[in-house]
Amino acid sequence: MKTFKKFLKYWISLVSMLGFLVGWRFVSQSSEIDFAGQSAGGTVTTQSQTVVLAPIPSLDSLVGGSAQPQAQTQVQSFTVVQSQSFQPQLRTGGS
Amino acid sequence: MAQIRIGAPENTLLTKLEKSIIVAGLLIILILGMAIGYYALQMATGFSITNLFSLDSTHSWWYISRAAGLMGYILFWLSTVWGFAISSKIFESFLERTFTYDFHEHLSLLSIGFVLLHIIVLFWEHYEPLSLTQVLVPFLSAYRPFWVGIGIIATYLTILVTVTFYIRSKISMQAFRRIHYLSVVAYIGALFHSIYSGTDTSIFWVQMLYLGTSLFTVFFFTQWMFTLYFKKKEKAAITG
Repeated sequence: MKTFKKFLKYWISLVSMLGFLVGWRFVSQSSEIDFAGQSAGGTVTTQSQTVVLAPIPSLDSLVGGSAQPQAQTQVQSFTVVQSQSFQPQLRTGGS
Repeated sequence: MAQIRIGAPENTLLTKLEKSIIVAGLLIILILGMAIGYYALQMATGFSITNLFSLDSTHSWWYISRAAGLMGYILFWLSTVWGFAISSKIFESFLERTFTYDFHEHLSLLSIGFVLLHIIVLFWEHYEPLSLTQVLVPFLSAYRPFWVGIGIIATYLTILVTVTFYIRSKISMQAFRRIHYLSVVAYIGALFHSIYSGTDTSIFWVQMLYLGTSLFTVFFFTQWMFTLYFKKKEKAAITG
């Protein structure tokens, strides 16, 4: 009985180690792991991250026309998408 | 007689020393054999452990943590179910009570070992690293704070329950049992932590694992409740 007890203890320890290795293999090879959840805004709260903003140019430099070229390049440009012209089909009232 | 008495411990010591040398020798042979076998396999088939366990991946620490967490969960589940089986006296007819207790304790310790590995590895994980405060204090983690917090509480409860194995003689049986009931709460916490903070919950076999273990636990829990109910009824019949 004593040998059986020892054997069972060693066996469960060994099986656990093997199970860990098998689990590691399966988890690492699986393509279904959802890492998106880690960085998605819905599930992760970023408490320690602070966003560093670029310094705002002074008003004088903008009014005086001596704005830094860097500030000018940061202005976001928008491209205007030409909307398709709409022409209603005119029908005659028939004969 | 005196000569025999003097000679006996020396013989025992020599046997122990011999046994240790044999075990150490066998271990060295085993390790060398595995190393040679691995090298031969690598040369012949191009097999490598790096590819097998994705060691070169940016998520390699995360994989180790997840595998350790899953193993910790399985062992904790086994320990919980074993505990219910002991209380329900399922093993009484074919296993010694001392052994079943001993094995229950062994399972809990193994589970705690894997859970600690699951936590410690996360310090090296550079994708979503945890600080010591985030590991020790529940609900502070940046990654799924609520469910990670639940996992931390479940770990504390498991450690508390396991500690009572060693102070059982110093506390009353009633206190031991009451603290032991917390392991049910800890198991539920561990299950939900695994489901909602594990990145591998979407894997089919992991889902089946959670489902299967939960069903087994419900079965053994129900049986344990029935045993308690009938025990109380029996006691009431004797006293009343």
